[in-house]
Amino acid sequence: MNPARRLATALALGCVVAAPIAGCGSTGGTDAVAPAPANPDKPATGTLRVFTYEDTTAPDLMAPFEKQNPGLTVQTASFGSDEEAAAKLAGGFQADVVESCLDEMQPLTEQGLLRPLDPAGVPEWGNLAFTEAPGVTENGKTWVVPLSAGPQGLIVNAEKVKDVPHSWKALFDPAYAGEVSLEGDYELPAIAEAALAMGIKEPMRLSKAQLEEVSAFLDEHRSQFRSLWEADSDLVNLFKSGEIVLSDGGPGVAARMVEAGIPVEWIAPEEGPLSWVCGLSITANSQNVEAAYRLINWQASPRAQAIRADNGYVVTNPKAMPLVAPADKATADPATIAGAIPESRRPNEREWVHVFQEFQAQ
Amino acid sequence: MEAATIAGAAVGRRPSRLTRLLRPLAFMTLPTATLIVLFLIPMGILFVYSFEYGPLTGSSGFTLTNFTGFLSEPLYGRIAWTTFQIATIAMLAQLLFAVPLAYVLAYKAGRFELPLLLALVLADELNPMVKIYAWRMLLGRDGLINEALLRIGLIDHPIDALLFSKFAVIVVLSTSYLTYTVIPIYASMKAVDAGLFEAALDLGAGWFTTFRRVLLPLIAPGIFIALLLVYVPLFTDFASPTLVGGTSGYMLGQVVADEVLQNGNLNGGAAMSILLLVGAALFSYVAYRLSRVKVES
Repeated sequence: MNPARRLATALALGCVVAAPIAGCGSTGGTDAVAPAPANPDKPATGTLRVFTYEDTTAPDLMAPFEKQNPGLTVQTASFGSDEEAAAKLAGGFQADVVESCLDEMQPLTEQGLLRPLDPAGVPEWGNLAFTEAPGVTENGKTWVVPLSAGPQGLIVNAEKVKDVPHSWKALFDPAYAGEVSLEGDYELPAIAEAALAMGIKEPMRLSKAQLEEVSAFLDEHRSQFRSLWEADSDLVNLFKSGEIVLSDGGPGVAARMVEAGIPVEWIAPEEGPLSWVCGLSITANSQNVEAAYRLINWQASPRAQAIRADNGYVVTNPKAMPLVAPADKATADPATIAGAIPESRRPNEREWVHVFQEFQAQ
Repeated sequence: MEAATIAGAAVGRRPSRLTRLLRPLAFMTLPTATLIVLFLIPMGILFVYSFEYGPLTGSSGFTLTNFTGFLSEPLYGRIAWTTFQIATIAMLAQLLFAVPLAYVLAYKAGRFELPLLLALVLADELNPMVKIYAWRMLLGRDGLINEALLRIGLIDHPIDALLFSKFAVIVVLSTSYLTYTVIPIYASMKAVDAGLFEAALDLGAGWFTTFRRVLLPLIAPGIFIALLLVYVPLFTDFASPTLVGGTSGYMLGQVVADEVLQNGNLNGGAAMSILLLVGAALFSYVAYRLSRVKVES
């Protein structure tokens, strides 16, 4: 057999073997509203499979829940993004509860991987922030219970910047040229912040023309940026090494920098900070809906929210504030997200990605 | 009679034809199965994914759009050109350092040969992130290099372009893969008889002619292996450009990583990986032919 035919045969064999695996996308789930539990206080039993970002199932957050439900076996698995979660669930991975973030949960809803839930089954629903945010409820179906948030504003080195700015425009101000950083691990922050700096009021609903204007604006100011940061640790390093004096970022990382002796200040820009919003959803093929509600209700409770505050997140249930440790009160306070623009699904997301790639590839 | 028995036992029974046929297959079973499970099946899945619509496109079935989308978009052409420039300069820089280093190791290091070789390997064992952050400390605005240049009065202001630039990406990539460039060249040099250099000198050849006409053709296979091991992966590296490239030096490896990890576009990422694989195969073939030409000449 000649090499070309050998290659063709190998590839064909690979396709035959791979096809059933690649095609196993049907979930066999239901899109009927998950019935609210008759008694939310009743301990759950059976098995609960939880699929979230790693910190959502941290031991200090899950141990009290497991103690409350001694007859329940909890199995946890973590992912790096909702896109990854959707790919795994579509591939047959089994879970009862999955973490959804408003800006990236589209693959979960579009592929029918979630089951609408009944807010009546969540006693704290009325107290939670962001329940009106785009994506939480769509076409009368509630997909996620918002449980954590992280505002994004300005972080300024207050020693090096005399007149501390209060606008997103500062990121693009030539006065700070070469000493600014932008979040670069995904396209949303850079584009939304540029849009806000340009005076656009609804950065999550950019029209094609607006997106082109933002693209031109970003390209025009590219030399403004020393680097694009990828993670909190990267941002800390940039401030600490003196490479930058101004960046976008959250109050949690700013607080950590202050603790480390870096003289920074977190500012909520006057145009409104951005905020990621994440919560828990019930999967379309959940086998233990009662236990799923039980976990959601635990994570929405003031006690669990106070534990989450310890991770530097803003609590979505203000009733948790009296329980939050004094050191975490400033970063956990829901007041920091007052007027925040939730990072949510964009109608032309692929074009956003393209604009950001253009910006990076100049 | 006894002697005949012993002789018969020593010779033994000749294995049957079937046994002779099956024995090598039995030895091959485990490696073949491993290769199929760990390499061919994932490759097959990648291949299938690259010809399927993404889950968010609203379509399903066979498509070439994942390929045509990349090939027809000028943006990716620009990124490919930047990647080619950075990878090629980084590879040439490595060869520039690797050939003399391998020469010293092979012929001049004496009793230090093994310790030096070990040091080279150990340097590669360091966590890549630690190495990249170490470079950031060296190349940064307040880094050691700028500090030293300022102190000796060579510059008045720190050189910003040392970090968060294409230059920084080239420096970090060059040093990250240096071990893999040196070792194959060193191995091929070890097979070259040092007496050939003396013969060349006796015949009136200078060091450069000796290098070009004697050493280079003989170590061409080693350089070919180094190119395979290093030049091809340089095209897919994404950690170095992400952490030291700043707003320049966006490379194809980052595009694949961003498509898969950030945008959930596994199908697009698979298509671009297949394109890179095809490019790598073509490059490997050309490099192989060229190294053969060198050896034969």
